[in-house]
Amino acid sequence: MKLEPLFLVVGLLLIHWTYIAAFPLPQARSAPIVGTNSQPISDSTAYRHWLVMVSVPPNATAQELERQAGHLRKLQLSPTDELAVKQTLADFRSRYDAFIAKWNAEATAKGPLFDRTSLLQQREDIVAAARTSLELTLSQEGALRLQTHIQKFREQIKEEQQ
Amino acid sequence: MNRLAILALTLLAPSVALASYSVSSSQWLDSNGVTIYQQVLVDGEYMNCPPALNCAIYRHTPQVYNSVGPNGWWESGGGTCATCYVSFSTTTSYTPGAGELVTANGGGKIQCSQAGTIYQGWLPTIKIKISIANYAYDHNDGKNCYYKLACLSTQPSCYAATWLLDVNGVQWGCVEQPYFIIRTLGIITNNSKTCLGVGLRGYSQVPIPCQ
Repeated sequence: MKLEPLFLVVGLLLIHWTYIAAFPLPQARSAPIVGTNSQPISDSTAYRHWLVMVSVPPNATAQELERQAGHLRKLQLSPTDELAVKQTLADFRSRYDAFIAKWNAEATAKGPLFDRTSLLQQREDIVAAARTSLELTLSQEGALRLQTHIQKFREQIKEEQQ
Repeated sequence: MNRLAILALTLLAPSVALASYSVSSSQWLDSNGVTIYQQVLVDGEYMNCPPALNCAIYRHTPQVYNSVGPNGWWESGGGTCATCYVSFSTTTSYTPGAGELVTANGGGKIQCSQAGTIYQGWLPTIKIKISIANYAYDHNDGKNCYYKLACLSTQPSCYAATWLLDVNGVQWGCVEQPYFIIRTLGIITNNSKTCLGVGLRGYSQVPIPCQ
């Protein structure tokens, strides 16, 4: 009886090797538990990381507000633009926190039946809405400054599927 | 059994990723322009939990490594369910000496209570230097003020133009503001050097040595 798990593993591996033999991958690849597969950073990922980093919760501490101020100083926006960015960030943060809460509640409740597809789309929609808000509310110069900044910030993001 | 099953299922699906996380970092200066801050964020999700694994019993804990100069350590976020969404960041700071070149690192990982490290991502090591350009008031044309770069032996690490024009500065009294200081963060990677404007520029009554 103690050997059952081992049989299961060996059985699964045999199925796997049979599958690989029948449908070879385009290129040979080892399959470590932790591997690396860096991929280009999409606009959505770059904006998401920036929005998450720079936004603060509604009851932000003095330290969190100073962090936000430090991030925003780098943009050198006009006071009007800075106010618009802060409003968008506040809206994004409340939506993003709600998204994570919903994701985790569903993941916990549904277990293996959890379907993340629609929630991933929600994440994309939240980021897209924030970007649209920034485009609509910022001055032309402010929007250009932000866009240039995000392009630079993109270099400091690494996304991997493992 | 669990570790073996995870290994087997990972091998079973070599073309299907199990985890999709991203890690990022961003640096800035405090409002006095003397302390470097770095925030590192890990964000993402465990994509596919095969039903055979009974992931409900596993816990995933995000960890972030964040170092600036000698100040750096791993910090853990709260543990969540295996398929829960993770978004965790930390901030580290360091006040360098004049002209000091500071090394900064950032990375993130996800620890599974059963399988150990299921994700680990490192950002390239960067070196950071605070660049200071000191401008001294030179003259005005009745409307605009002209400041000239005034450095002694050390030049700014980041590019600084020789002349600085303060448009309509006369009406604000440029004569009474003899110095203008611009602080920039120079970020050096293996491949390039980028100078980030950090929004710290302003008048000063006293000169600040360029660095």
